[in-house]
Amino acid sequence: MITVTKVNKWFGKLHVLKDVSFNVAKGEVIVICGVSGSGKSTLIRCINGLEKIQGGTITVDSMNVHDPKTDINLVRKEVGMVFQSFNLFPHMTALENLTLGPREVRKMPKSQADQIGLELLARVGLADKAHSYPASLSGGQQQRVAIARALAMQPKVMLFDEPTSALDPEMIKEVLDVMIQLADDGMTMLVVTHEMGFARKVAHRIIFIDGGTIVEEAPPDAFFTEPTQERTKRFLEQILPV
Amino acid sequence: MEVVLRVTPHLIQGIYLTLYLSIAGMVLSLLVGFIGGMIRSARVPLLSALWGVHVAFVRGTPFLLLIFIIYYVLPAFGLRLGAQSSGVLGLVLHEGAYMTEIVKGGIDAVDRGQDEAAKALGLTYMQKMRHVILPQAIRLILPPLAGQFVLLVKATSVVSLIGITEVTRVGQQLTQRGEHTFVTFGMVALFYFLICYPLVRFSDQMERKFSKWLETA
Repeated sequence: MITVTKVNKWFGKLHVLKDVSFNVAKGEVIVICGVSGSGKSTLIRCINGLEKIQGGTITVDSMNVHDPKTDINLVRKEVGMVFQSFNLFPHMTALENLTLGPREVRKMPKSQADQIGLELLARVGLADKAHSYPASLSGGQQQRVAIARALAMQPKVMLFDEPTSALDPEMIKEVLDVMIQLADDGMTMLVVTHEMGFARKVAHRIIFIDGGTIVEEAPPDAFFTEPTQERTKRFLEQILPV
Repeated sequence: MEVVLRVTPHLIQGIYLTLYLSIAGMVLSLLVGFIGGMIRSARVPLLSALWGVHVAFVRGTPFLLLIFIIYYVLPAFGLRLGAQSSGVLGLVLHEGAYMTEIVKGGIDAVDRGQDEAAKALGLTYMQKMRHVILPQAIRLILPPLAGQFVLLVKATSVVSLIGITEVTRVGQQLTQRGEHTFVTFGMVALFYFLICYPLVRFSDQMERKFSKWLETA
């Protein structure tokens, strides 16, 4: 579904991604972890073209994302994204946030978009908030609306960029529960997160990035119990409860 | 009272012209301001830089000079415009430059995450501007824009200097013919006030209307 081949990216002189390569199969859930500044967020932002790359190739559903001949909006139609800071449209109700993409990009009639939107809001447990503005929702509720908004486009892949990092601890679970449900339904997911409980539970593979390179790539069991790299061990010691 | 009755028909002639200049100036400079603001904000190569030079020129020179350049200098380059067209063009270039900066400022003030969220949904640039960015920018843009409209209405009096008999010019002519100066200019001032003050009030109301979604917090 996604192939990342020898991707290189610089911010000015800073080499943030160095020869990064990996594949994601349909229905796979990949967790990407690493310390701040390791390049993990930048990496997933390259997958829907929010960041440009200076070397290598990324394909999503056989579309070459960074080829100038590719219509990037065709890629983005198929790739949902959830941001750390939610980024809901504050001047629209929850339902309007959900229906904007389907109506404008997929040219869906309003009645159909509304129906799908209401179903998705119910799925994330917010059926009663359809007509609320984001400012009147809690952080956890906003993030669930944001997930529903991305799902409303019926994407083939979902990208999550630290979806719980801006949330109060008591709201993290409600968002993770929605993500777990989504994984169980077979969605292809690429998740940048520090939530190792989530990684252990739903990830098929965990990719550990440090200094812009993939240091370790393994299924959760192997990743947590027998990491092969020193750098991974030190990282796990820092983040896992003793 | 006699003076009022006597000068009113003359002033109305000038008022028509002032309103024409104002409305044409507003509509066209608004168009220029939005297109220019989007070009500047998106940093479109070349166009953005060129318009930036124009904005710097307008900010750094008097409006009257721009009018003189259009009316007296452009004909030397083969572009001969009538007085009214020169006046409208001057107003549009001048006010459009300021409006460009107002629109650019409003667009740039919208959180970057909004831009990214709109892009991530696959919206085109125009869809993103129309549905996501401008509705949020507009409440930042409208109050200073209305202020700029007020300046535009008042700036129409400057174009009298290339021989356009708008309302200020008419007032001047009337007093030169011996009409009562206080009453005549008082009526001219009242006219401007009646146009400009509602604009200011309108801007306040719009600001409140567009802030609605913020107040739900």
